[in-house]
Amino acid sequence: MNVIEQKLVVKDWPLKKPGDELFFGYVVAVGVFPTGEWEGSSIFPFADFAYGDTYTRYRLPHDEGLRKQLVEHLADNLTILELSGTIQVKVWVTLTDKGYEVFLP
Amino acid sequence: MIDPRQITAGIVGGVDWQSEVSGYCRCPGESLHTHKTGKKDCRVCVDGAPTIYCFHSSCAAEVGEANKRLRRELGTPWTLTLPGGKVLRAGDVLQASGAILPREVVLARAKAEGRNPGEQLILETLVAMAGRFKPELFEKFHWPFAQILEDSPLLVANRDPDDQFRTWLRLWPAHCHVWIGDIYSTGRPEHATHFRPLADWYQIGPAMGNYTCGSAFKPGTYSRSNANCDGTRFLVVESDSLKKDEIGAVFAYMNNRLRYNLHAIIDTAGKSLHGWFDCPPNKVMEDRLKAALTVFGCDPKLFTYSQPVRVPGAWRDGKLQRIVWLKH
Repeated sequence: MNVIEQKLVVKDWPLKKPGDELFFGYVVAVGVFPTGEWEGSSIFPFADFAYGDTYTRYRLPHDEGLRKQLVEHLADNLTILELSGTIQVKVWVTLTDKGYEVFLP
Repeated sequence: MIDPRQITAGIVGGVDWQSEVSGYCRCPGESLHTHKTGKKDCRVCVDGAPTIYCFHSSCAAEVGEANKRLRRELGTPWTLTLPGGKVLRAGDVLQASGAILPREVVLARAKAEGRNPGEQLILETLVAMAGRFKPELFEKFHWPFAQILEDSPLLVANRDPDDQFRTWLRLWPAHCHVWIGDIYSTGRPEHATHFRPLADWYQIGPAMGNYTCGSAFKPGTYSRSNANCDGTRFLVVESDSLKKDEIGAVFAYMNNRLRYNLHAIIDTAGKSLHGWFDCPPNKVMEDRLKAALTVFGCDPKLFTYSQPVRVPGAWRDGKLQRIVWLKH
């Protein structure tokens, strides 16, 4: 068993208004995070991104389109990991007037 | 206790200190420069492995001798009290965050990585120094996208997709087996069709996917893994955070100062440019380049030689992935 001792900082989602755009890195996890009470705002969706020697967790907005795109890219990474022993899908995310667009560099 | 900055000034002359440990100085080999010398071209650092670094390459021998002397004379124990009261000792590295990386940690990392302690210290110093001279590097080697297009020795950017693809194939030695596909086109026997000799690809054209790889593969391979690479490879340099007008500085620095041979620059039809370079000659140089490129904003995974990259001649969302600079 591997024990990873770490303090995980959850960052707020940084894209606030149409036109905001950011490179996040490799999609390595999407999930829900239970803290304290198992209801309300104490449970929130998150996505984790890795890049270089950084690993960052973001609290996701409640946006089905964004969530689906990230989950698809995570699934791609899981498949690629099985096929080639590494992961390859890293993403930029743009907030547009029509919603979130997740794309590869 | 000796002051390392006084000793340094005794070797390189006056130093315009930009921090407690690093500043601009006159290059010990300035008379050998073949291009105009700027005030910020040469920098000296006293922490970690004390180093003089100049952006010119014609002065390398003189700088190398001066570095030997600097390291010899700063080899005796010294301490430097930093603002805030922290004490830096000989062999410690002052990181960009302001934190001190103690020499004991450098030693522990060397042991953990199975690396020579002296080389580990050079790597840690290189990371700190790369952060310090990054602004000057991007200024001095500035090579915006429009200039890259204009500077290309061969005019290739407007060639049609088939021509783009065949031009890129000519970068490879004739015997190579190259992978072209999409990111899933690997790992199962049915994917063997994506690993073909160059002659096949000349016939097929850019029709089997949007990606290739900087490495050639062993014949009969169906899995794009490092173990199946045949040793013929390019280093494909890219950045996810640098814009097309910025990454050119990294390409120019590698090509002009570090003397890594740049073969081609490929526009990915997205946000990135990819520079196709000769690989580092050995693991030591590879580790050093990896450390520096990561500081400059490049993805360290580019040193995974089975990593897929965009192939020229293929279309991406209505835009052509294309060569925009070609050496030969």
